[in-house]
Amino acid sequence: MDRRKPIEGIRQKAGLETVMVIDDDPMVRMLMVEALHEANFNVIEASDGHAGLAMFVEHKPALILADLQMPGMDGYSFCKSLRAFPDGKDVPIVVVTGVDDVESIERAYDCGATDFIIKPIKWAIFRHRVQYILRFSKAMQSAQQSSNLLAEAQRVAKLGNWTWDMDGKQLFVSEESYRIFGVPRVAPEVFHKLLINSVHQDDKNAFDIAVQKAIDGESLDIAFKACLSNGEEKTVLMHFDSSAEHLDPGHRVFGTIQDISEQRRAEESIRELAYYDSITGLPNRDLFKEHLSMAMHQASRNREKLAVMFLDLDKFKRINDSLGHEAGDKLLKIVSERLHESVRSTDVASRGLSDMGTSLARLGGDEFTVMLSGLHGVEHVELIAQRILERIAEPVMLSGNRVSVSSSIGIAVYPEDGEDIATLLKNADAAMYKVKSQGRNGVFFYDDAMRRQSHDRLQLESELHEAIEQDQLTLFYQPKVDAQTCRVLGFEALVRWIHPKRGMVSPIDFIPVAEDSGLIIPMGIWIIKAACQQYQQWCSAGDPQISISVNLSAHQFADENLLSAIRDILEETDMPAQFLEFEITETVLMQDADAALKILNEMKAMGLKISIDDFGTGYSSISYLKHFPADVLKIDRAFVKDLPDDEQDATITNAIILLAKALNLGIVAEGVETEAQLQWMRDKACDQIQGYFFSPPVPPEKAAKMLGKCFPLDL
Amino acid sequence: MSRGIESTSESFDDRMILDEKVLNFLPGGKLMMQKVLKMFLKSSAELMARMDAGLQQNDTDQVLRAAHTLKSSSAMIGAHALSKLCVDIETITFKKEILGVDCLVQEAHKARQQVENEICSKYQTKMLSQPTEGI
Repeated sequence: MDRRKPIEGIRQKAGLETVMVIDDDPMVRMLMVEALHEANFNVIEASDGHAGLAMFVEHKPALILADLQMPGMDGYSFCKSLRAFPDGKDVPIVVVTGVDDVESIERAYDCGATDFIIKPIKWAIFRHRVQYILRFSKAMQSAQQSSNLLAEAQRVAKLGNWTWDMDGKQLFVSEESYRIFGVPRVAPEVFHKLLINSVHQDDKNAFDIAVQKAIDGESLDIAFKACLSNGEEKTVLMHFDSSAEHLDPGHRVFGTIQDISEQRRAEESIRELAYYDSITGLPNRDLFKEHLSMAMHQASRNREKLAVMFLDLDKFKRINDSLGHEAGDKLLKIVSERLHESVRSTDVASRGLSDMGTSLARLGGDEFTVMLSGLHGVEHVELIAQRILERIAEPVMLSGNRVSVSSSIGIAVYPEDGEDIATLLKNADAAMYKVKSQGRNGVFFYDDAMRRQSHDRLQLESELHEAIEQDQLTLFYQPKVDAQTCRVLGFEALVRWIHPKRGMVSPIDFIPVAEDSGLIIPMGIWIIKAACQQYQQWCSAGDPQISISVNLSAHQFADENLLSAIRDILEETDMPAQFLEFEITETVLMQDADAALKILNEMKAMGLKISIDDFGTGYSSISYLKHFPADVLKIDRAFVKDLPDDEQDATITNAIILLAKALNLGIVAEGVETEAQLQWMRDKACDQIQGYFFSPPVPPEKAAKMLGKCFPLDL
Repeated sequence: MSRGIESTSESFDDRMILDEKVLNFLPGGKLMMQKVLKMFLKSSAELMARMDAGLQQNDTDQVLRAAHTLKSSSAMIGAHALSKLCVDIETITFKKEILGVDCLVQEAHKARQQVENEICSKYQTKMLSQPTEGI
């Protein structure tokens, strides 16, 4: 504030603070006005309380100086009246009174006065006094505002602060702390008792430990359930701040208390969303795995068994497709209820399984799991599974239709069938598939045979790795022969595995393993390369006058690196593309016909030949066939094997040959084993013949002897 | 606050007719002081008259109110002796008593006259029999 002596003429300057003087004595008023002008205030005057109130409303002075004894409305009434004004609560009122008049000062305070000044006024200190009171009052107002803001912030955050006198068992708390506990302001002793008593039985121990740690100087958070006197239960988070600067000798701890009930509820509903299936309300796969993990630990500790059932509804898709998803969802709900009932039934307990724990889950689609834990043997597990099957099979009404659903259950038992979650689930799943493969609606335990099979498969996979690395794979070649001249026109390269111990391993055994494990990709590359190298080898002995064909599996065909790999191989082996043919089944092509068309076009652009393998057995589209840039159709052996006697096969095969001719494609009959078949093919003008009638797949040395030759060979 | 103020505060002489130190500390300088003194002469004469009237009518309340007002205004200009007499009158009349008040009022008249004399001689302020316009 500017304390310089005022310059005449700027006295009513705007922006100065206004002080109101109320006194009936004009002499006093005049002196005060003068003194206040000197102190650089705007001044307004009133001769009694009534006038003062009116002027207050109009001018809103920052400070009021009021005489106490005045005719009309005196100073006391003025204070009282002003304090009743909505904006008159905080303005400082300084009463002016005689030095000996203690009684009047007290009365003035009671009426709402802020401070007093003694008469006769000491003018030299008067202005300082006024300025000080104004400053003080502003600071008070701002502190009050801060305090209000803090209280408001605490209210919004549902957060209170407190000081805990551990020795005196007193808890001094802020306004919001009362609100959290739903009580009016109470004494610190009372609140202390209130808090201690509110802590839920389950949290008592943890709470006491936390308090002790706080006394020992540790800062920490503890969340606990608080049971309020009105029966409400809240989740409360208390932060104990025992940092050194706050500590004083009397074992005081400072901290905050917050109502986190809503956060907890939100967390729970998030958990609900994350861990539960929204259709059935059952735990989902993630939560089931958690449950299973906990149960496995417990089983391991207690040397108990635990069973995991994998349940799949038979033909659920058909219900979804025919009755709609709503009906499908309803069925899932009914199934989950029936699962609950089946595992909860009272007779489970009476059968000596009182320790059994159960956990259900929906893994997705129509797959459910049931976990039975705390088992000593598995003799009751099948019984429960059978009851589930029967209960689920009971008819239900869906969209007005009476529907019966059967289900398939596979069971794996810990620890025998797997000691980790993944294995246990996989084996239960495998057992369930075994039920499916054997006609559905049944229960199957994962058993030794399956274990062996699975073990064998794993073994095979690891050996196949080695086989590729150690060159145990080899190619055999089966000739394709001109139907009319019997001349060898080409070979189909077929992979063989000559295992150092097992001998020849059938492709029927190892190709699926290669497909599942992804080994088919490197293996496929190896095959193409080996075939090209073989061709080149034959070339070095003169023009072989043949083409060589290689099969492409679905995995290879979907591999985005396929074309560049072929390009590299052609370059590396100097293979003329027009003599390399790829055999692709129509099933593979039709999986994504548009994508297939693109790849085939690129292959054609590279100069490669394409034949459509196993034609007639898969799902095919004649219109696509028209667009596919194929060179050859291969008639599947299935049509050939009963020729020429089977009239239907004869008709179909004839049609395929005609189709190929119409589309200007070459045609190869596979699986020709008899002279009659050969003759039939010749009669129908089939181009080429492949099959045991001429030759099985043979090793390269033998194939070499067929080059440029006609059957029958003189070997 | 300066040291000078501290040394004068609360330590004035009860018998002092007109305390120059008090006058000199009034806000507003000489012009204001003359204005105040003029006002005092006028209002103190009126208040003395009210006391006289109160005495005649045995109205202790009227005497009390007038004495109370004169007590503060005389103190304000440093007329300590007059102010002291007003305190005495106030004390008695507050108890609704009248005995001895007339003597005190006479004393007060004298003290007031002395104040007027001193004001006139020292500050060339003439006693105004009629109130000045605007006051």
